[in-house]
Amino acid sequence: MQQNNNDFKAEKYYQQIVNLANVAILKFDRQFILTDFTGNSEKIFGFKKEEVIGRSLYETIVPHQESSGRNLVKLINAVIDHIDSYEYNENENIRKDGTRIWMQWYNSEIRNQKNELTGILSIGIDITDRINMEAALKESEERFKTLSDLTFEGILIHDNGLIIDCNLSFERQIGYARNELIGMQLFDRLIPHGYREQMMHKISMDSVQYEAETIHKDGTIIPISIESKSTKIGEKQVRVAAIRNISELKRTIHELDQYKHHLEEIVRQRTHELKTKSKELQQQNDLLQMERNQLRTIIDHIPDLIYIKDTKSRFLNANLMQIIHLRQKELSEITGKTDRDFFNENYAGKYYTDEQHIMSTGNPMINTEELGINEKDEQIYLSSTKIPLKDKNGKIVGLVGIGRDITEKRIAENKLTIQKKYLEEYNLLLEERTQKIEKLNADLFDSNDKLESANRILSERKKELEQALEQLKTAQSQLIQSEKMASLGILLAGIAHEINNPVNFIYAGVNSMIKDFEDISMVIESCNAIQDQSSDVHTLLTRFDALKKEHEFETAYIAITETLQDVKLGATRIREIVNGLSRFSRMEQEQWKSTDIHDEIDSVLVLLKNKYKHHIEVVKEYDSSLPLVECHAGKLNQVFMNIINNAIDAINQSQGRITIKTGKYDDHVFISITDTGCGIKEEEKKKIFDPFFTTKEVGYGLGLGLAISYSIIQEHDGEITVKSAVGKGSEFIIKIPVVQFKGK
Amino acid sequence: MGDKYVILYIDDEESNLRIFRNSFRRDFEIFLASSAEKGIEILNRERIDVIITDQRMPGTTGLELLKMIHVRYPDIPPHRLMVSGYAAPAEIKTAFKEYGLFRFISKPWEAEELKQIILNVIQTKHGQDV
Repeated sequence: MQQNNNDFKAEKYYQQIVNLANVAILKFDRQFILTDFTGNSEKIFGFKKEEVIGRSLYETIVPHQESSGRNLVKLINAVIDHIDSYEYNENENIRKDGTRIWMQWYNSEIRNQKNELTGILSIGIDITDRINMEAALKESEERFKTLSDLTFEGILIHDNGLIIDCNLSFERQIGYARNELIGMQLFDRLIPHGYREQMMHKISMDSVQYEAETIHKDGTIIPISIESKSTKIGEKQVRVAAIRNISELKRTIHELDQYKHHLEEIVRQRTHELKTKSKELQQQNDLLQMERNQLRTIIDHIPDLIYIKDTKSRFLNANLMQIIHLRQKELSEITGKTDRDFFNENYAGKYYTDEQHIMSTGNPMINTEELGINEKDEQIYLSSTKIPLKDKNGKIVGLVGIGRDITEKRIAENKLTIQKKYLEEYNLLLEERTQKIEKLNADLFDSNDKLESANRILSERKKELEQALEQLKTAQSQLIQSEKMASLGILLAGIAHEINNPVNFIYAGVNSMIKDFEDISMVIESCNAIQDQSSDVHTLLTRFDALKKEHEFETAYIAITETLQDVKLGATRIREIVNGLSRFSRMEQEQWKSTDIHDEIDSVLVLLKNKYKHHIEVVKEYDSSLPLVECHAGKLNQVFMNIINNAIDAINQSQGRITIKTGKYDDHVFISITDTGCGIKEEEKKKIFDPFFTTKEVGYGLGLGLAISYSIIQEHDGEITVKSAVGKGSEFIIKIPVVQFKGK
Repeated sequence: MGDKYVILYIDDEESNLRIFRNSFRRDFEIFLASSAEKGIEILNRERIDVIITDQRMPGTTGLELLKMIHVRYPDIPPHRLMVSGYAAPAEIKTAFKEYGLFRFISKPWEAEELKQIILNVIQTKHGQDV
């Protein structure tokens, strides 16, 4: 979890603590770029926060080398790489004005959600004073030593008190010149009485160190330290004494003792204080970090967009929602950037203007609606609050923004408004209606009487209507009959020709037979005459044969036989046509009757034969077990006539085929009539059963055929359906019950 | 028989063909064809004086047959009669105008009357192109 020291509560608490603790708090990333610089950092280092954020440590507060020469680049690399070993370190830093200070740092790592180390959080205490103090102590010790080293040590060589030699230092110590001293009796002149016995005794010892006093030339008594020993100079046994004026030393030692004691006391106290403070700081830091983590988690998961910007509207910090809103994944991807880096000018420009206004006037923007774009590029409505952020001097240093996506709310509100409006209108309408109904109610009472009289009139009307309906039914049945006759009329010319051929068989045939018969008669009559003239059989036969040849008797005989067949064929065909005509034109007299459907179809085919025989093959697929059907045969064959006639017209003059199929299905029979004609256009399919709808030329149909057929099939409680494909043909399927419902 | 006029009669009804032959075998030499195509075959190999054809036949109609003859034998056209139970007026008109039809005779025909018409056409046309 990344550190966030910019949320409000934590900020405040934290600010108090860091102010008290006088610590510097800063964060830097793996590239040593400072990402935060708070606490008392500004005061300690003399830099303003905005001067260092985004800059390298080495450009700001860390010199490459300490005054002592230690390489700080290595040190800070080591801190990042081995944080465990560098939780605590002391190093020299540099202030803005170039002065060096010593800081004691507590370092902790910053990790992102993927647990990758992204930077270091360092909390530092200024320990320059302590370091300086330690240095001073060391220096004073050195000085002391130097002092000791440099203190004149008088060297005196004597023989049982008779001065043999001395050095310059001794001369200075004692005030006598060297030449005065040499040959002088030491104990007589230079040693006070009180020390003479003691010193006389000491010089008999091999080596001795002691303190005594000496008498300066001016008569002053000087405390001295003596270190003496017997030695030989050449062959002579002498005594060498090193004499030190210790009057200064004694005083210094006394003072130093006091000073040292004082210093030690200070160091002890300071160390204790620091340790205590460090501990407290660590605890507080842990606590803060925990609270911050909690807060951060909460803030990150608040569905609102939360962000902090600097005075130039650059993002300093943001919660996860805001980062996602900006289509990024890491805070580091947005810090230092502005809305212009993520949105087009329409949005970013408006945000920028608003924010600059807020920061220049100090007036916050509260729950104000802003337009935005979400990560799916859809326009959204945001309710935004933007509050200026101030430093402790009251100077505006940025702003905190909270945005909430209220798009759904807005849509709901709009709907609600509309619904409310509807409701109000509806309410008004209801009131009006209620009034109207009340009025109507009153009117109703009034009109009740009127209604009763109207009712009487109505029942009279009903009777009239029933009569009219009856008339209509009669008219319809007349219409059906008329249509039948009309279609017959259209067919009649064809039927006439169809009759003319068999009539010709009979008429021309009979004429032909008359001639043949004349020929044959002539032979027979001649035979009779010959028979009377002669009785010679051979002669008779010869004459008879000659006669037969002369009159083509055999030919006439065969011709008569043939012609008789043709005459019979003609008569049969005429009978069939007349049969078909009479069957087809049957009138109302016979009503519901069990009928052989196949006979009815065949009679229709006879009437139509002339129209199709030359170019259309009629295929009959009759179901031989088809039961008799209870129907109105005269009407049903009108249906077959219409449909088959249409099929012939659909095929027109081209070669084609009409397939007539019958069958039984449950208690129904069906008759399917399929042609290979032109088919019915989709838009005409709905109209084909409409009265007066026709695609035929004037004079070839009234446009009533299928309309009448439809009503006839309905009358039979049946169905008529059509399937058709343009260019391929049509199929009409008629379905009627075998037995009609008794109630008819 | 050699000096009889030669008649070609075309009709899809076998009965009509037979009755025609039996009626006129004494007067003319007769060729029969049950379709226009068979009639054309006969025309190819025989000298024909008069063609009598039915109009309504499956396949090629009488009118179409007359047209074919008109196109194929423009120089030696035989005389043409049409015999039919029914024909549209337009068809007959075209046949007269374009294809040299001499007379249209309705079925049923009267043998004596038809014989007179046949003789009439032969005499009428004799000076012209025979």
